[in-house]
Amino acid sequence: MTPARRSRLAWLHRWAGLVSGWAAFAIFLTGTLALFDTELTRWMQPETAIIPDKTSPTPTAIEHAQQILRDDERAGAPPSFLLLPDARDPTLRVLHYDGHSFVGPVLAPHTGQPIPVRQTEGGNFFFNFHYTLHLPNPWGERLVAMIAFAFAALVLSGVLLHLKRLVPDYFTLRLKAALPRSLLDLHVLTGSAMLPFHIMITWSGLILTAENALPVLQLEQEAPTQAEAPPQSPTHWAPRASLAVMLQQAQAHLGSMPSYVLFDDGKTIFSAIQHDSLNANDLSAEFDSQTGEFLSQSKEPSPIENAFYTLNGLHLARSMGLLLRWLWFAGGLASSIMVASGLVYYTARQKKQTTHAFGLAKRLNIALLGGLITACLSFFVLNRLIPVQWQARAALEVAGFFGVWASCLLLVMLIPISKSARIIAWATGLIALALPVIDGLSMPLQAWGSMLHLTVNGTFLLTGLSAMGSLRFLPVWRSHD
Amino acid sequence: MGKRVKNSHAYAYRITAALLVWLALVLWGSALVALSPAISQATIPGYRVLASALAPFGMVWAFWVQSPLYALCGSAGLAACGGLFLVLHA
Repeated sequence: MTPARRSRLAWLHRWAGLVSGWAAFAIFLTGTLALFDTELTRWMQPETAIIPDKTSPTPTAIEHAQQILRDDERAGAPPSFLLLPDARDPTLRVLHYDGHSFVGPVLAPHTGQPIPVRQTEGGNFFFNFHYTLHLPNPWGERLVAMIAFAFAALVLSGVLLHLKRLVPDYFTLRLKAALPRSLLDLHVLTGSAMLPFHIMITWSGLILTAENALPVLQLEQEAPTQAEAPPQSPTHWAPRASLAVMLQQAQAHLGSMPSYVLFDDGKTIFSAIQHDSLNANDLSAEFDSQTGEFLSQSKEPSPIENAFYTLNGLHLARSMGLLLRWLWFAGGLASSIMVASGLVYYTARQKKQTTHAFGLAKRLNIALLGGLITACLSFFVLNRLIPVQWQARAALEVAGFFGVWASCLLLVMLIPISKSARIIAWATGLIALALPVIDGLSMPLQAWGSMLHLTVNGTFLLTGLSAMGSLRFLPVWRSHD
Repeated sequence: MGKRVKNSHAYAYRITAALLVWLALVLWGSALVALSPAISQATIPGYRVLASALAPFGMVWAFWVQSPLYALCGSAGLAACGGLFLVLHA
C-alpha cells in the first residue's frame, strides 16, 4: 500500500471513528447486555425466583391466562400476547405494548396465579436502547442504521490498515508501555482477535437495519383503495376456543413446545423458536380463534429467506445455546473495548494538542464511555432501591439511568479530566461491588444460590474489580491532561 | 496552507463519493426490485443482504482510488445509471 493511500484510509478510519465511535460504543455495550435480556429481566424481578426452572405450563395456568385475555378484551385493551415458559424464563407472561415497553401480569406456570413482580423494563431496556438509542421512532433506528454503515467502513478500513501486521498483532499487548502504545495494542488486539465476530455482527446488523439504510424506492405510487384511516384495535381478538387444547395440538404440529402465542385477525398463532440453532425463523401453527380448528402451518422458507433468517439469528442470538451466547457476549465486550480504546487512543496520542475541540473530545470520552457503564450499573441499583409498590418505578429506573449519565457528563465538564476520570472509575467500582450485597439483602430466600443470581452478581463483581483495577492506569492520564 | 485547502477539497470529494456509492446501491437495488415486481418479496431480502455486503467496500473504495475526481465521477455515474434504470423500469 502506498503511503498516500495509507494516509487516506487512516483519515477515513479516524474521522468515521470520531463521528460514530461514541454512539457505536453505546450500541455495542447495550447490545452485549441485551444478549441476556431475559435473564436480566428475571434478575430484576427476583419475585419470579419462586418458580423452579423447566416448569411446563399446566392447562389450569393456560385457562387463567385465557381468562385474563378475555377480561382485557372486554376492557377494550389492545391485543395482548402470551410468552410461554421456556429454558430461559420459566414464567408465563401475558403482555401488551403500552407505547414504551411490553407490560402485563406474570403468572406461575403450574397454577396460573399472578406473581406480584415489581414493574421494570428489565433487560428489554438494553435491547431497545441497542437499536433505537432511546430516541423516538423512526429517528433512533435511522441513526443506528447510519452508525452501522459508518462502522462497517471503519472495520474495513481498520483491517486494510493493519492487514500486514494482523498475525503479529495477535500476540502484542504492552501494558507497561506509554499509554498511547498500550491503547493501540489493546485496540488492535481486540480488533484482530475477534475480527470474524466484528465482521459478522456488523454485516448482520447492517442487514437488520437495512430497511432504514437501504430503502426500496418506488416511483409509482399504488392507488389507495380506500380512504386511509388510523388503524383501530380489533374489538374481538381473545380466543373463544380452549387455548389449552390448541396449545396441545400446536405442540404436536410443531414438534416442540411453542414459545409465544399471538392473536391476530381471528387467528391464534403459536410460534416456536428453533432452540439451539442459528436460524431466527420461528415455526408457527395457526388456529381459528373461535372454533379452535387447525388452519395452517408455516411453510418451508426459500434458500434466500433462510440465509436472511440465519443472518438475523446470528445477530439476535435469540435461538442459540448458552455456550454460544456467552461467546457472543465475549465478542460484544471485545467490540466495546476495541471502540473505547480506539477513541481514547486518538486523544492520548496527541499530547500537545490544546485546542478546545480536542479537550472536549477528551472529556466526552470519559463522560460517554465511563459514564455509560456507571449509568448501566445504576439502572440495576435503582431496581433494588425504588420501592416495589411504586406504580411509576419502571419509568423512574429509566430516568435514573439517564440522570446518572447526564451527571457524569456534567461532572466531566466542570472538573479537571484526570480527577473526573478517577471519580467515575471509583463510582463504577463501588456501585458494581455493592450490587451483589444489595441483591443479597433484598432478594427472596428462594433466589439465594440460584445460578442466575450467582452469574449476574459475579459479573458485577468482575466489573467492579476491573473498574478499581483501571485506577492503577489512570495516573498516567495526568500527563495527558 | 494551499495544500491543506486542496487536501480538504479532496476529502470532501471522497466523502461525497462514498455517499453517492450508497445512493447508487439504493437506486440499483430499487431498480432490480422494480424489474421483478412479482418476486419482489423474495428479491428484497436478497438485495439487502448483497447491498449490505457491498456498501463498506464501496465506501472504502472512494478513499482507495488515487484521484478524488475519479471517485466522485465514478460514483456519480453509478448513481445516475441506477436512477435511469429505475425510471425506465418503474
